[in-house]
Amino acid sequence: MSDYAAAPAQPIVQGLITIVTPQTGLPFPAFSGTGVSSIVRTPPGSPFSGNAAGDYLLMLDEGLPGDVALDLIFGRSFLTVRGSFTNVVHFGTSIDQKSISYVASTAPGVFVASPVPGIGSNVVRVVLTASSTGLATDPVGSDGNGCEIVIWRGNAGPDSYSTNLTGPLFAPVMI
Amino acid sequence: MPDYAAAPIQPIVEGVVTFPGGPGTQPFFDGKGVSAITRAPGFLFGAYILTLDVGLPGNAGAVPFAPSGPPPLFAPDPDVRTMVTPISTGSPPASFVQSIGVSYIPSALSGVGAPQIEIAITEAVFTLFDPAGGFQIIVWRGLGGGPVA
Repeated sequence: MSDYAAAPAQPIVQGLITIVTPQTGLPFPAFSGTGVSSIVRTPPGSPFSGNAAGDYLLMLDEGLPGDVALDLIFGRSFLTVRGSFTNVVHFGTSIDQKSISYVASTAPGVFVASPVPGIGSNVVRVVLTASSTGLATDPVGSDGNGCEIVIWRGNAGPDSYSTNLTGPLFAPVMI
Repeated sequence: MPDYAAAPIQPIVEGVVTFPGGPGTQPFFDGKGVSAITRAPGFLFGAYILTLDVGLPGNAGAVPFAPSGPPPLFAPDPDVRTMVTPISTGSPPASFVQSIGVSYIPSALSGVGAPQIEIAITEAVFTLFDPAGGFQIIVWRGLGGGPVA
């Protein structure tokens, strides 16, 4: 049998983001899974413009299982919003824009927009938006029922390099 | 080389859903882990119920409930991850999908978990519809870990 597992990608984060509403106080995001040590709402201020909802910073584990030193080009991920029974669409969600970005924390509570050379990204920012309102939105209530996330480290082979493939069909014109 | 495979996940479903007769007709699943696909009762477009295989590789019991005990801190089935990717058609290619919602339908039997997955796909203005090119689906079971706040 042929081995098609030729594009190794190592899962480093998998979990479910939910919004917990305590009996007293404001709703806060929570994460259940592996690879993340904490989750907070994105704070306001440069270079971050936090939202009251739908905008989160996920701190990756310092050691295994999360220790990714994640280089931007190696991040592979997906986000899936769980549908809500109370949405106007049967088991649907009003969150139709999802994005992920790789940032870094150089000290507790300090975030920079880009991965730090030599360290990589140790923080992942997730933004969920409903285009109907144009606002970042928590996946809770009629808007959704949590958000699943998986992050892989791509290019997980023994060598990390890129090259331009050329061949008879794609060889550049020689002059 | 470090082993970064620190967040183990097991693929339990992989396949493609298409509409051989066109949108609005019987959906068809081609892949592994699903024994049946139907439309959600009362809906002609865009809402599908996938029934997982009783045994491996779908093993519906592999998608467990959250730990019991009121009040529930997390939504049910914290350990399942689903990716749905529409397939485009036309030129330029487009799927016209606006939103995708995934839900897990629990079994009435205790400890069985969710043997069915419901998917809701909408087009513009959030109207349920069938993407003409169909969609890909992968379902994983996440392993280990726990709540972090």
